[in-house]
Amino acid sequence: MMNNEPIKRALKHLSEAGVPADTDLWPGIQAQLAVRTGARRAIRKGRFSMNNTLPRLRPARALGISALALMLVLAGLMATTQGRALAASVLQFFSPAPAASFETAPVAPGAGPTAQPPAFTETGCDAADLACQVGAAEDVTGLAAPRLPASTGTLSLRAVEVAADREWLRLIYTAETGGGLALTKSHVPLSGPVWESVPAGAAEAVTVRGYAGEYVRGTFVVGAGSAEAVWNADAPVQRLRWQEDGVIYEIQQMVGSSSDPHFDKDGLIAIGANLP
Amino acid sequence: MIDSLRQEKQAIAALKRGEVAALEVLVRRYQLRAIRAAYLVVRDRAAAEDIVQAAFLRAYDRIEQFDESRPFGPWFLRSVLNDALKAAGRQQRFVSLDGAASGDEPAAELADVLADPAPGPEALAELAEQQQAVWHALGQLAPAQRAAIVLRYYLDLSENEMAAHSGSRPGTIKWRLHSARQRLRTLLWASAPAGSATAAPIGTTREGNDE
Repeated sequence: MMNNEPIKRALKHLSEAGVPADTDLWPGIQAQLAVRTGARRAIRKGRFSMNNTLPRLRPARALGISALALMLVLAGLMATTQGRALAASVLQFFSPAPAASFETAPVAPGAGPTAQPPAFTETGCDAADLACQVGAAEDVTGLAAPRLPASTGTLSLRAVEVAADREWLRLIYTAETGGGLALTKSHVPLSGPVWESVPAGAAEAVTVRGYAGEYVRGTFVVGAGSAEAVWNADAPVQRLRWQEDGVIYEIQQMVGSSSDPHFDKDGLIAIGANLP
Repeated sequence: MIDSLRQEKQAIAALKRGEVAALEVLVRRYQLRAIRAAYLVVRDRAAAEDIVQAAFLRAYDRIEQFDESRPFGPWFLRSVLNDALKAAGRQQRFVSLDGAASGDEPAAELADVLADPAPGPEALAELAEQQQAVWHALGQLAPAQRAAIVLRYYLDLSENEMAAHSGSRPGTIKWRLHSARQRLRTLLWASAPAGSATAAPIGTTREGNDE
Protein backbone atom coordinates (compact mmCIF):
# COMPACT_ATOMS: atom_id res chain seq x y z
CA MET A 1 0.00 0.00 0.00
CA MET A 2 1.47 3.28 -1.05
CA ASN A 3 2.01 5.82 1.71
CA ASN A 4 2.54 9.27 0.34
CA GLU A 5 2.19 11.07 3.61
CA PRO A 6 5.92 11.49 4.30
CA ILE A 7 6.64 13.24 1.03
CA LYS A 8 3.47 15.31 1.31
CA ARG A 9 4.49 16.34 4.78
CA ALA A 10 8.01 17.16 3.67
CA LEU A 11 6.76 19.30 0.79
CA LYS A 12 4.34 21.08 3.08
CA HIS A 13 7.01 21.88 5.64
CA LEU A 14 9.53 22.96 3.04
CA SER A 15 7.09 25.26 1.31
CA GLU A 16 5.94 26.79 4.59
CA ALA A 17 9.52 27.36 5.67
CA GLY A 18 10.34 29.03 2.37
CA VAL A 19 7.24 31.17 2.01
CA PRO A 20 5.89 32.70 5.24
CA ALA A 21 2.15 32.86 5.73
CA ASP A 22 2.16 36.67 5.82
CA THR A 23 3.31 36.91 2.21
CA ASP A 24 0.94 39.20 0.35
CA LEU A 25 1.01 39.96 -3.35
CA TRP A 26 -2.12 42.09 -3.41
CA PRO A 27 -0.46 45.51 -2.94
CA GLY A 28 1.90 44.82 -5.81
CA ILE A 29 -0.89 43.53 -8.01
CA GLN A 30 -2.95 46.59 -7.22
CA ALA A 31 -0.08 48.84 -8.17
CA GLN A 32 0.22 47.14 -11.53
CA LEU A 33 -3.50 47.09 -12.17
CA ALA A 34 -3.76 50.74 -11.28
CA VAL A 35 -1.57 51.47 -14.23
CA ARG A 36 -2.40 48.63 -16.58
CA THR A 37 -6.11 49.11 -16.64
CA GLY A 38 -5.67 52.62 -17.83
CA ALA A 39 -7.85 53.64 -14.95
CA ARG A 40 -4.88 54.32 -12.68
CA ARG A 41 -7.40 55.22 -10.11
CA ALA A 42 -6.00 54.40 -6.77
CA ILE A 43 -4.21 51.84 -4.79
CA ARG A 44 -5.80 50.86 -1.59
CA LYS A 45 -4.82 48.54 1.11
CA GLY A 46 -7.65 46.31 2.17
CA ARG A 47 -11.11 46.33 0.69
CA PHE A 48 -11.20 48.64 -2.19
CA SER A 49 -13.08 49.44 -5.29
CA MET A 50 -10.49 50.23 -7.89
CA ASN A 51 -13.01 50.60 -10.61
CA ASN A 52 -11.88 50.87 -14.14
CA THR A 53 -15.20 52.23 -15.14
CA LEU A 54 -14.72 55.92 -14.57
CA PRO A 55 -15.75 57.79 -17.66
CA ARG A 56 -12.92 59.39 -19.52
CA LEU A 57 -13.75 62.96 -20.33
CA ARG A 58 -14.07 63.70 -23.95
CA PRO A 59 -10.83 65.37 -24.93
CA ALA A 60 -12.30 68.69 -25.94
CA ARG A 61 -14.27 68.94 -22.74
CA ALA A 62 -11.43 67.58 -20.73
CA LEU A 63 -9.14 70.13 -22.22
CA GLY A 64 -11.51 72.90 -21.29
CA ILE A 65 -11.95 71.65 -17.76
CA SER A 66 -8.26 71.08 -17.35
CA ALA A 67 -7.51 74.57 -18.59
CA LEU A 68 -10.09 76.02 -16.23
CA ALA A 69 -8.78 74.00 -13.34
CA LEU A 70 -5.27 75.03 -14.18
CA MET A 71 -6.23 78.68 -14.25
CA LEU A 72 -8.02 78.42 -10.91
CA VAL A 73 -5.12 76.63 -9.32
CA LEU A 74 -2.68 79.12 -10.71
CA ALA A 75 -4.78 82.03 -9.53
CA GLY A 76 -4.80 80.62 -6.04
CA LEU A 77 -1.17 79.73 -6.04
CA MET A 78 0.05 83.03 -7.34
CA ALA A 79 -1.57 84.77 -4.42
CA THR A 80 1.03 83.36 -2.06
CA THR A 81 4.78 83.49 -1.83
CA GLN A 82 4.89 79.73 -1.86
CA GLY A 83 2.64 79.72 -4.87
CA ARG A 84 4.90 82.04 -6.75
CA ALA A 85 7.78 79.70 -6.04
CA LEU A 86 5.78 76.70 -7.21
CA ALA A 87 4.82 78.49 -10.36
CA ALA A 88 8.36 77.97 -11.54
CA SER A 89 7.57 74.26 -11.81
CA VAL A 90 4.07 74.55 -13.24
CA LEU A 91 2.80 71.45 -15.00
CA GLN A 92 2.71 71.61 -18.76
CA PHE A 93 1.77 68.06 -19.67
CA PHE A 94 0.01 66.71 -16.59
CA SER A 95 -3.20 67.80 -14.97
CA PRO A 96 -2.44 69.58 -11.72
CA ALA A 97 -3.77 67.91 -8.61
CA PRO A 98 -5.90 70.04 -6.33
CA ALA A 99 -3.42 69.28 -3.55
CA ALA A 100 -0.98 66.67 -2.35
CA SER A 101 -4.03 64.95 -0.89
CA PHE A 102 -7.73 65.23 -1.54
CA GLU A 103 -11.01 63.68 -0.57
CA THR A 104 -12.23 60.94 -2.84
CA ALA A 105 -15.80 60.53 -3.94
CA PRO A 106 -17.57 57.24 -4.48
CA VAL A 107 -17.69 56.28 -8.09
CA ALA A 108 -20.76 54.76 -9.63
CA PRO A 109 -20.02 51.36 -11.15
CA GLY A 110 -20.76 50.74 -14.74
CA ALA A 111 -20.20 54.32 -15.74
CA GLY A 112 -18.44 53.25 -18.85
CA PRO A 113 -15.02 52.15 -19.93
CA THR A 114 -12.12 54.54 -20.00
CA ALA A 115 -11.15 53.62 -23.50
CA GLN A 116 -12.48 51.34 -26.13
CA PRO A 117 -10.45 49.72 -28.83
CA PRO A 118 -11.42 50.71 -32.31
CA ALA A 119 -13.80 48.44 -34.13
CA PHE A 120 -11.05 46.14 -35.23
CA THR A 121 -13.53 43.52 -36.22
CA GLU A 122 -14.90 45.97 -38.73
CA THR A 123 -11.48 46.36 -40.18
CA GLY A 124 -11.06 42.62 -40.45
CA CYS A 125 -8.55 42.16 -37.64
CA ASP A 126 -8.54 38.99 -35.68
CA ALA A 127 -8.68 39.58 -31.95
CA ALA A 128 -5.31 37.90 -31.53
CA ASP A 129 -3.68 39.64 -34.46
CA LEU A 130 -1.99 42.54 -32.72
CA ALA A 131 -0.01 43.59 -35.78
CA CYS A 132 -3.25 44.02 -37.66
CA GLN A 133 -4.73 45.93 -34.74
CA VAL A 134 -1.77 48.28 -34.66
CA GLY A 135 -2.31 49.01 -38.33
CA ALA A 136 -6.01 49.56 -37.75
CA ALA A 137 -5.27 51.85 -34.84
CA GLU A 138 -2.91 53.88 -37.00
CA ASP A 139 -5.56 54.12 -39.70
CA VAL A 140 -8.31 55.36 -37.43
CA THR A 141 -6.20 57.82 -35.47
CA GLY A 142 -3.86 58.98 -38.19
CA LEU A 143 -0.95 58.51 -35.79
CA ALA A 144 2.14 56.39 -36.31
CA ALA A 145 2.06 53.78 -33.57
CA PRO A 146 4.76 54.24 -30.93
CA ARG A 147 6.37 50.85 -31.44
CA LEU A 148 8.98 49.90 -28.92
CA PRO A 149 12.53 49.59 -30.23
CA ALA A 150 13.70 45.99 -30.45
CA SER A 151 16.54 46.86 -28.09
CA THR A 152 14.15 46.97 -25.14
CA GLY A 153 14.45 43.22 -24.93
CA THR A 154 11.95 41.04 -23.16
CA LEU A 155 8.85 43.21 -23.51
CA SER A 156 6.17 41.96 -25.85
CA LEU A 157 3.22 43.79 -27.35
CA ARG A 158 0.19 42.80 -25.30
CA ALA A 159 -2.60 45.15 -26.26
CA VAL A 160 -3.60 48.03 -28.49
CA GLU A 161 -5.99 50.72 -27.27
CA VAL A 162 -7.63 53.58 -29.09
CA ALA A 163 -9.74 56.33 -27.58
CA ALA A 164 -13.41 56.13 -28.40
CA ASP A 165 -13.10 59.44 -30.22
CA ARG A 166 -9.98 58.23 -32.04
CA GLU A 167 -7.86 61.02 -30.63
CA TRP A 168 -5.15 58.79 -29.22
CA LEU A 169 -3.71 55.34 -29.50
CA ARG A 170 -1.73 53.30 -27.00
CA LEU A 171 0.45 50.24 -27.28
CA ILE A 172 0.96 48.19 -24.13
CA TYR A 173 4.07 46.08 -23.85
CA THR A 174 4.52 43.68 -20.96
CA ALA A 175 7.08 41.22 -19.68
CA GLU A 176 6.25 37.72 -18.52
CA THR A 177 6.32 39.04 -14.98
CA GLY A 178 3.50 41.44 -15.75
CA GLY A 179 5.24 44.80 -15.72
CA GLY A 180 5.98 46.81 -18.79
CA LEU A 181 5.43 50.01 -20.68
CA ALA A 182 2.39 51.79 -22.07
CA LEU A 183 3.23 54.04 -25.00
CA THR A 184 0.67 56.63 -26.02
CA LYS A 185 0.43 59.20 -28.81
CA SER A 186 -2.35 61.72 -28.85
CA HIS A 187 -3.68 64.57 -30.94
CA VAL A 188 -4.93 66.29 -27.79
CA PRO A 189 -3.49 66.85 -24.31
CA LEU A 190 -3.88 63.73 -22.24
CA SER A 191 -6.33 64.20 -19.46
CA GLY A 192 -8.11 61.95 -17.07
CA PRO A 193 -9.63 61.68 -13.64
CA VAL A 194 -8.10 63.34 -10.66
CA TRP A 195 -6.23 60.14 -9.84
CA GLU A 196 -3.99 60.81 -12.78
CA SER A 197 -3.25 64.36 -11.79
CA VAL A 198 0.09 65.41 -10.38
CA PRO A 199 0.78 67.69 -7.43
CA ALA A 200 2.78 70.83 -7.96
CA GLY A 201 6.45 70.19 -7.72
CA ALA A 202 6.18 66.47 -8.49
CA ALA A 203 7.01 66.88 -12.17
CA GLU A 204 10.54 67.33 -13.37
CA ALA A 205 11.28 69.23 -16.55
CA VAL A 206 13.18 67.10 -19.07
CA THR A 207 14.13 67.19 -22.72
CA VAL A 208 13.25 64.35 -25.06
CA ARG A 209 15.03 64.43 -28.42
CA GLY A 210 15.17 68.18 -28.20
CA TYR A 211 11.57 68.77 -27.13
CA ALA A 212 10.44 69.96 -23.72
CA GLY A 213 8.75 67.37 -21.56
CA GLU A 214 7.97 66.36 -18.01
CA TYR A 215 8.82 63.31 -15.94
CA VAL A 216 6.78 62.19 -12.93
CA ARG A 217 7.30 59.35 -10.51
CA GLY A 218 4.50 58.44 -8.11
CA THR A 219 0.74 58.25 -7.96
CA PHE A 220 -2.13 58.93 -5.60
CA VAL A 221 -2.79 56.25 -3.03
CA VAL A 222 -5.88 55.68 -0.93
CA GLY A 223 -5.50 53.89 2.37
CA ALA A 224 -7.90 51.26 3.62
CA GLY A 225 -11.05 52.78 4.97
CA SER A 226 -9.87 56.22 4.04
CA ALA A 227 -11.57 58.70 1.78
CA GLU A 228 -8.39 60.64 1.30
CA ALA A 229 -6.06 60.15 -1.63
CA VAL A 230 -2.46 60.96 -0.79
CA TRP A 231 0.38 61.43 -3.22
CA ASN A 232 2.97 58.67 -2.94
CA ALA A 233 6.17 59.66 -4.69
CA ASP A 234 7.63 56.20 -4.14
CA ALA A 235 4.86 54.29 -5.92
CA PRO A 236 6.28 52.27 -8.81
CA VAL A 237 4.60 54.36 -11.48
CA GLN A 238 6.63 56.57 -13.79
CA ARG A 239 5.32 58.80 -16.56
CA LEU A 240 7.14 60.78 -19.19
CA ARG A 241 5.29 63.19 -21.49
CA TRP A 242 6.42 65.56 -24.17
CA GLN A 243 5.09 67.17 -27.32
CA GLU A 244 6.40 67.11 -30.86
CA ASP A 245 4.79 68.90 -33.76
CA GLY A 246 1.40 68.97 -32.11
CA VAL A 247 1.46 65.33 -31.04
CA ILE A 248 1.59 64.45 -27.34
CA TYR A 249 3.70 61.44 -26.37
CA GLU A 250 3.50 59.51 -23.13
CA ILE A 251 5.61 56.64 -21.85
CA GLN A 252 4.35 55.04 -18.70
CA GLN A 253 6.25 52.40 -16.83
CA MET A 254 4.51 49.72 -14.82
CA VAL A 255 6.65 47.92 -12.27
CA GLY A 256 5.12 45.44 -9.93
CA SER A 257 7.82 42.89 -9.29
CA SER A 258 11.56 42.85 -8.90
CA SER A 259 11.89 40.87 -12.11
CA ASP A 260 10.16 43.43 -14.27
CA PRO A 261 12.34 45.33 -16.68
CA HIS A 262 13.11 48.58 -14.99
CA PHE A 263 13.87 51.86 -16.68
CA ASP A 264 14.78 54.95 -14.75
CA LYS A 265 14.11 58.46 -15.95
CA ASP A 266 17.03 58.42 -18.35
CA GLY A 267 16.00 55.00 -19.60
CA LEU A 268 12.51 56.24 -20.41
CA ILE A 269 13.94 59.27 -22.16
CA ALA A 270 16.20 56.99 -24.18
CA ILE A 271 13.20 54.92 -25.23
CA GLY A 272 11.36 58.07 -26.16
CA ALA A 273 14.26 59.15 -28.31
CA ASN A 274 13.75 56.11 -30.51
CA LEU A 275 10.00 56.08 -30.91
CA PRO A 276 8.49 56.64 -34.33
CA MET B 1 -16.83 26.01 1.88
CA ILE B 2 -19.97 26.55 -0.13
CA ASP B 3 -19.93 30.22 0.81
CA SER B 4 -16.34 30.41 -0.22
CA LEU B 5 -17.03 28.88 -3.62
CA ARG B 6 -20.01 31.14 -4.08
CA GLN B 7 -17.86 34.12 -3.22
CA GLU B 8 -15.31 32.94 -5.77
CA LYS B 9 -17.90 32.62 -8.51
CA GLN B 10 -19.24 36.04 -7.66
CA ALA B 11 -15.75 37.46 -7.85
CA ILE B 12 -15.18 35.95 -11.28
CA ALA B 13 -18.49 37.26 -12.52
CA ALA B 14 -17.64 40.70 -11.16
CA LEU B 15 -14.25 40.59 -12.85
CA LYS B 16 -15.95 39.83 -16.13
CA ARG B 17 -18.07 42.91 -15.59
CA GLY B 18 -14.89 44.93 -15.21
CA GLU B 19 -14.86 45.25 -11.44
CA VAL B 20 -11.15 45.00 -10.88
CA ALA B 21 -11.41 44.94 -7.10
CA ALA B 22 -12.95 41.48 -7.30
CA LEU B 23 -9.53 40.10 -8.12
CA GLU B 24 -8.60 40.59 -4.49
CA VAL B 25 -10.90 37.73 -3.49
CA LEU B 26 -9.02 35.35 -5.75
CA VAL B 27 -5.61 36.69 -4.74
CA ARG B 28 -6.36 36.34 -1.04
CA ARG B 29 -7.65 32.84 -1.56
CA TYR B 30 -4.96 31.34 -3.74
CA GLN B 31 -1.80 33.38 -3.44
CA LEU B 32 -0.11 31.50 -0.63
CA ARG B 33 -0.69 28.05 -2.04
CA ALA B 34 0.34 29.20 -5.48
CA ILE B 35 3.55 30.87 -4.29
CA ARG B 36 4.50 27.84 -2.22
CA ALA B 37 3.87 25.47 -5.09
CA ALA B 38 5.92 27.64 -7.43
CA TYR B 39 8.62 27.94 -4.79
CA LEU B 40 9.00 24.17 -4.64
CA VAL B 41 9.64 24.15 -8.37
CA VAL B 42 11.79 27.25 -8.88
CA ARG B 43 13.36 27.09 -5.39
CA ASP B 44 13.52 30.86 -5.09
CA ARG B 45 10.95 32.81 -3.14
CA ALA B 46 11.23 36.07 -5.08
CA ALA B 47 10.97 34.24 -8.38
CA ALA B 48 7.95 32.32 -7.11
CA GLU B 49 6.24 35.54 -6.07
CA ASP B 50 6.93 37.09 -9.45
CA ILE B 51 5.49 34.07 -11.21
CA VAL B 52 2.30 34.10 -9.18
CA GLN B 53 1.83 37.83 -9.46
CA ALA B 54 2.19 37.61 -13.22
CA ALA B 55 -0.24 34.70 -13.27
CA PHE B 56 -2.87 36.71 -11.43
CA LEU B 57 -2.45 39.60 -13.83
CA ARG B 58 -2.73 37.22 -16.76
CA ALA B 59 -5.81 35.64 -15.26
CA TYR B 60 -7.28 39.11 -15.00
CA ASP B 61 -6.40 39.85 -18.60
CA ARG B 62 -7.99 36.61 -19.80
CA ILE B 63 -10.88 36.32 -17.41
CA GLU B 64 -13.31 36.69 -20.30
CA GLN B 65 -12.09 33.38 -21.63
CA PHE B 66 -12.51 31.58 -18.33
CA ASP B 67 -15.35 29.08 -18.15
CA GLU B 68 -17.22 29.94 -14.97
CA SER B 69 -18.63 26.47 -14.71
CA ARG B 70 -15.17 25.21 -13.87
CA PRO B 71 -13.38 25.79 -10.58
CA PHE B 72 -10.86 28.61 -10.69
CA GLY B 73 -8.32 27.15 -8.28
CA PRO B 74 -7.07 24.09 -10.16
CA TRP B 75 -6.99 26.03 -13.42
CA PHE B 76 -5.01 28.83 -11.86
CA LEU B 77 -2.63 26.64 -9.87
CA ARG B 78 -1.82 24.53 -12.90
CA SER B 79 -1.03 27.65 -14.91
CA VAL B 80 1.26 28.78 -12.10
CA LEU B 81 3.03 25.45 -12.17
CA ASN B 82 3.42 25.72 -15.92
CA ASP B 83 5.06 29.10 -15.51
CA ALA B 84 7.24 27.80 -12.71
CA LEU B 85 8.26 24.92 -14.90
CA LYS B 86 9.28 27.29 -17.68
CA ALA B 87 11.21 29.45 -15.25
CA ALA B 88 12.94 26.45 -13.74
CA GLY B 89 13.73 25.18 -17.21
CA ARG B 90 15.52 28.40 -17.93
CA GLN B 91 17.52 27.99 -14.75
CA GLN B 92 18.27 24.33 -15.29
CA ARG B 93 21.40 23.72 -17.24
CA PHE B 94 22.59 20.29 -16.47
CA VAL B 95 19.82 17.88 -15.56
CA SER B 96 18.30 15.86 -18.31
CA LEU B 97 14.56 16.10 -18.64
CA ASP B 98 14.53 12.34 -18.73
CA GLY B 99 16.34 12.16 -15.42
CA ALA B 100 17.83 8.88 -14.45
CA ALA B 101 14.74 6.78 -14.73
CA SER B 102 13.49 4.68 -17.52
CA GLY B 103 10.05 3.30 -18.04
CA ASP B 104 10.90 -0.22 -17.03
CA GLU B 105 12.39 0.59 -13.68
CA PRO B 106 10.80 -0.88 -10.60
CA ALA B 107 7.67 0.74 -9.37
CA ALA B 108 8.96 1.63 -5.94
CA GLU B 109 7.00 4.48 -4.44
CA LEU B 110 8.59 7.71 -3.52
CA ALA B 111 7.15 7.54 -0.07
CA ASP B 112 9.04 4.36 0.52
CA VAL B 113 12.25 6.27 0.55
CA LEU B 114 11.23 8.21 3.54
CA ALA B 115 10.64 6.42 6.73
CA ASP B 116 7.48 7.86 8.08
CA PRO B 117 8.65 9.90 11.03
CA ALA B 118 6.07 9.61 13.70
CA PRO B 119 6.04 13.07 15.17
CA GLY B 120 7.60 11.99 18.41
CA PRO B 121 10.44 13.91 20.01
CA GLU B 122 13.17 11.68 18.65
CA ALA B 123 11.84 11.93 15.16
CA LEU B 124 11.68 15.70 15.04
CA ALA B 125 15.39 16.31 14.52
CA GLU B 126 15.47 13.57 11.99
CA LEU B 127 12.50 15.12 10.22
CA ALA B 128 14.44 18.35 9.76
CA GLU B 129 17.28 16.41 8.23
CA GLN B 130 14.90 14.55 5.98
CA GLN B 131 13.39 17.78 4.78
CA GLN B 132 16.79 19.11 3.90
CA ALA B 133 17.50 15.90 2.08
CA VAL B 134 14.21 16.13 0.22
CA TRP B 135 14.91 19.77 -0.63
CA HIS B 136 18.33 18.89 -1.93
CA ALA B 137 17.04 15.93 -3.88
CA LEU B 138 14.22 17.95 -5.40
CA GLY B 139 16.81 20.38 -6.63
CA GLN B 140 18.53 17.60 -8.47
CA LEU B 141 15.41 16.63 -10.38
CA ALA B 142 14.67 17.91 -13.83
CA PRO B 143 12.14 20.78 -13.69
CA ALA B 144 9.45 18.65 -15.31
CA GLN B 145 9.91 15.97 -12.73
CA ARG B 146 9.89 18.49 -9.92
CA ALA B 147 6.70 20.02 -11.23
CA ALA B 148 5.10 16.59 -11.48
CA ILE B 149 5.97 15.87 -7.85
CA VAL B 150 4.54 19.20 -6.73
CA LEU B 151 1.35 18.80 -8.74
CA ARG B 152 0.76 15.33 -7.43
CA TYR B 153 1.95 15.53 -3.84
CA TYR B 154 1.66 19.18 -2.92
CA LEU B 155 -1.38 20.28 -4.90
CA ASP B 156 -2.96 16.84 -4.68
CA LEU B 157 -3.95 16.63 -8.31
CA SER B 158 -4.85 13.20 -9.55
CA GLU B 159 -2.98 11.70 -12.45
CA ASN B 160 -6.08 12.13 -14.58
CA GLU B 161 -6.28 15.82 -13.67
CA MET B 162 -2.63 16.26 -14.50
CA ALA B 163 -3.17 14.55 -17.82
CA ALA B 164 -6.21 16.66 -18.63
CA HIS B 165 -4.31 19.83 -17.97
CA SER B 166 -1.17 18.97 -19.86
CA GLY B 167 -2.94 17.39 -22.79
CA SER B 168 -0.93 14.23 -22.19
CA ARG B 169 -2.27 10.73 -21.91
CA PRO B 170 -2.70 9.40 -18.38
CA GLY B 171 -0.11 6.78 -19.16
CA THR B 172 2.41 9.47 -19.97
CA ILE B 173 1.70 11.23 -16.71
CA LYS B 174 1.95 7.97 -14.82
CA TRP B 175 5.33 7.33 -16.38
CA ARG B 176 6.52 10.85 -15.69
CA LEU B 177 5.52 10.58 -12.06
CA HIS B 178 7.08 7.19 -11.79
CA SER B 179 10.36 8.41 -13.22
CA ALA B 180 10.31 11.41 -10.91
CA ARG B 181 9.68 9.22 -7.91
CA GLN B 182 12.37 6.83 -8.99
CA ARG B 183 14.89 9.58 -9.50
CA LEU B 184 14.04 11.16 -6.18
CA ARG B 185 14.34 7.84 -4.46
CA THR B 186 17.76 7.27 -5.95
CA LEU B 187 18.93 10.71 -4.92
CA LEU B 188 17.66 10.35 -1.39
CA TRP B 189 19.12 6.95 -1.04
CA ALA B 190 22.50 8.14 -2.29
CA SER B 191 22.53 11.10 0.06
CA ALA B 192 21.52 9.20 3.17
CA PRO B 193 24.21 8.47 5.76
CA ALA B 194 25.32 4.86 5.87
CA GLY B 195 23.11 2.85 8.14
CA SER B 196 20.37 5.42 8.02
CA ALA B 197 16.92 4.01 8.16
CA THR B 198 15.40 7.16 6.84
CA ALA B 199 16.52 7.05 3.28
CA ALA B 200 16.98 3.46 2.40
CA PRO B 201 14.08 2.05 0.48
CA ILE B 202 12.13 -0.45 2.43
CA GLY B 203 13.31 -3.95 1.73
CA THR B 204 16.65 -2.88 0.32
CA THR B 205 20.11 -2.21 1.57
CA ARG B 206 22.26 0.71 0.56
CA GLU B 207 24.69 -1.62 -1.11
CA GLY B 208 22.14 -3.65 -2.91
CA ASN B 209 20.08 -3.10 -5.99
CA ASP B 210 16.73 -1.76 -5.02
CA GLU B 211 15.00 -4.00 -7.46
